[in-house]
Amino acid sequence: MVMFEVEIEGMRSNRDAQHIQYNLLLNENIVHAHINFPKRKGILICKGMDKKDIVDMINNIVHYEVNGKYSARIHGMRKIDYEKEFILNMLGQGKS
Amino acid sequence: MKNVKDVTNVTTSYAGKLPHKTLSVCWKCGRVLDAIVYEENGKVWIERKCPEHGKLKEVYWESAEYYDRARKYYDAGIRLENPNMSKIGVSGINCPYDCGLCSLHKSHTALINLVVTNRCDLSCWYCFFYAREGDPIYEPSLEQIRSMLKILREQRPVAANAVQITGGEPTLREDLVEIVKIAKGLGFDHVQVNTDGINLALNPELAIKLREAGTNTIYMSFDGISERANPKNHYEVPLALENLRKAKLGVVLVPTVIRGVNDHEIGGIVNFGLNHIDIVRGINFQPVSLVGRMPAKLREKQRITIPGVISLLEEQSNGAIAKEDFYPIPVITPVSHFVKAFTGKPQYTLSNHFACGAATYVYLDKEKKSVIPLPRFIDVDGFMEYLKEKTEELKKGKSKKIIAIKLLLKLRRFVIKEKQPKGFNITKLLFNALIKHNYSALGALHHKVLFIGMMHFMDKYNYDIERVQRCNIHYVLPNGKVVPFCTFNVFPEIYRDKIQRQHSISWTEWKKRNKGKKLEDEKYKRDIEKLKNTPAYKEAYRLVDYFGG
Repeated sequence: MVMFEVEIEGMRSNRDAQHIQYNLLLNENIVHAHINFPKRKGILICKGMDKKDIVDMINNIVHYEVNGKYSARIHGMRKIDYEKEFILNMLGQGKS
Repeated sequence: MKNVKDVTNVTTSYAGKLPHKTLSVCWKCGRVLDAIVYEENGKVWIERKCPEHGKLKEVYWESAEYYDRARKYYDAGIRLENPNMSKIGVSGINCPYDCGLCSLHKSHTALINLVVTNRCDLSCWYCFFYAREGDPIYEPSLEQIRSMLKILREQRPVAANAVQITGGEPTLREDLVEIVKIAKGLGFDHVQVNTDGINLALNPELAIKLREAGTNTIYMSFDGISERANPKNHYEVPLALENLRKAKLGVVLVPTVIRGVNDHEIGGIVNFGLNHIDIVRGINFQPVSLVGRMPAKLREKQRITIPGVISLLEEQSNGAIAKEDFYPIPVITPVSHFVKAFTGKPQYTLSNHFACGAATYVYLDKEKKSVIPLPRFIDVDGFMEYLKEKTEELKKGKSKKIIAIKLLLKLRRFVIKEKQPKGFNITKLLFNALIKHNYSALGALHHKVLFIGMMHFMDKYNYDIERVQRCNIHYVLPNGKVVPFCTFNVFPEIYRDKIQRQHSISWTEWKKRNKGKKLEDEKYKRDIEKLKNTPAYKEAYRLVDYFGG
C-alpha cells in the first residue's frame, strides 16, 4: 500500500473537502482518504494506483457551483502497511 | 419549500426547538449539506438543497407534538477517551466520511454488531445484503473476530459490553457457538444472535448449544402474525419458540414495519408476544429504512416513523398501550449518572439521539387478561428529576448513606400504589438496582413484563448527521474501524460493502474450501403442510386477545 500526500486547489469550504473525500472513497483501490480544509491538503492510502491515477481522479471530481473541477498536485509518497498500523494504533501498540 | 438560509429563529444546539438546523447529505451525490428540521401540518420534516440535485424534503417524525416532548429527554452523552480515528490523526471534521469512530462521536458503543457471514438461507426481495452465486463471501476468521471484538473491549471510559452476532444468517456458520464463546471470553456480558429463526426451528440442539455457550438473547425477525405480513418465517417461528423454550433462551421479536405492508398487525404482534411472555422478552419495532433509489410517492406510501408506529399500537391495542406510555431511550440516562456518582465508576449511558428510539415496559396480568404499562403506576418524570437532584448532591460530596436512605424513603412517592399490580414491588426492585446494584430481580420480572421498543434507522432521504454522531449501535469491521449503524448501512459504497468486499474470499475459493457446495444448496425450502401440522404451529397462533378487541 502507498500513502500519498496531495495538495488540492479549488476548494472553498469544508463541504468541498468532504465531497472530494467521499468521491475518493468510492474508489475500490482507496483504503483511506482524509482531505483537510483550510489546509487544502489530503492524505490518501491506496493500492494499485500511481501518482497519475490519483491526480486524474481528483481532477475529475466536479466543482458544482462553477461547474469546474478541482486540481491536484502530489507532494510526497511512502509505502505503508495501513491496516497493520491502524490496528496496532487502536490497540495502543502503535508508534504514535 | 423552505430555504435553509431563509428560516428565522433556527436553533442550532442539540435538542433545540423547531425549526432546527442540522447537517444532512444529498441522497444522490453524498454531498454534505445544511439541513433544516421543521414542523409543517403537525409533522416534522427534514429539508436540504444540493447545488446539483436540488431540494429534497422528507418526513422526519410523524408528530411534531411528540418530537417536542421527546427532545426534552436528551442527554449530552459520553465521548470516547480513545476514539480510533484520533489515534491516526483524523478529527472527524469530514463526518460522516471520517468514520471509525472519531473524537466528534458523542456516545460510547452500547451494542456492537458483528457481521459473521453474508450467506443467507433466505433471499428476501427487499434485502440487498446476502451473497448471490458468484459474489464474494465475507466470513471473518475466528482470529479476526477476536481482534475486532478486543478493540471494543478497549474502549474508554466505558468498554462495550453487548454484542449482536449478525449476518446474513449467522446460524449458517458452523462455528457460531465458538464465536459466542469468544465474545463471552472477552468479557461481553450480553451476547445476542440476530437470526431469521429457521435453523433454530429445524435444529432443536442449536438453541441448547447457543445457550450453553453463553448466548443471552435471540433477536429474531418477526414481521407479523399472518402469513401475508410475515412470509419470511411465519411457519417456522412457532417451532423456534418451542426450541428456545426448551433451551430456556429468551427471544426478542423484531418486526420491520412498512406502511401498507404490515402496519395493520402492530397490535397483533404485541399480543403475540404477550401470549408467549414466558419466552418472549421483548419486541423491538424497526420502522423501515428506505434504501436504493425510491420515488417520492413510493416513499410517502411506505414511510413510517416512531410516532406513527406508536399511534397505530395505541389504536390497535384499544388504548391499552398509549403514546404517553412511551419514552425516548435517553430517558434512562439519569439512572446511569446517579449510579456513576454513587459508585464513582463510569456507567453504560444510552445517550443516543432522542429521535432514534423509544420504549416502554408493560405488565401482563394473565388472570385479569389486562395489560398495564409501567408508566401508568410509576411517575417516570418525577423519579428521573429526583435522581438528577440526588446526582448533583453526590457530586457536591453529600454522604452516600444519607442519599441512599433518602432515596429509599422517597421511592414510594413515585409509585401509584392503587394502580400497581399485586405482588409487584417496584420500589424494592429499583432500590436493589440503584443502591445494591443487584439486577437479579429484574431478570425474574421478565416473565411478567414485556419490553416494547422502537428503533428507527435512517436512510439517505432522512439522514441527520447530528443524529448519527450520537448513535450507540455500531458495527465493527475487520480493518478495526467501528462505524455507527446508520453510517455503515446508509453509505455501503464506502463502508459496509466496500470494506467487507476487501476482506472477502472469492466465490470460487469458497466453493473449493467447501467441496463444491453451492449457495443455492443452503437456501431454505419449506414444507408448509408439514410445518402447519406440528403441534407447536397449531398452538402458537391460538391467541388470547389481551387487548379486548
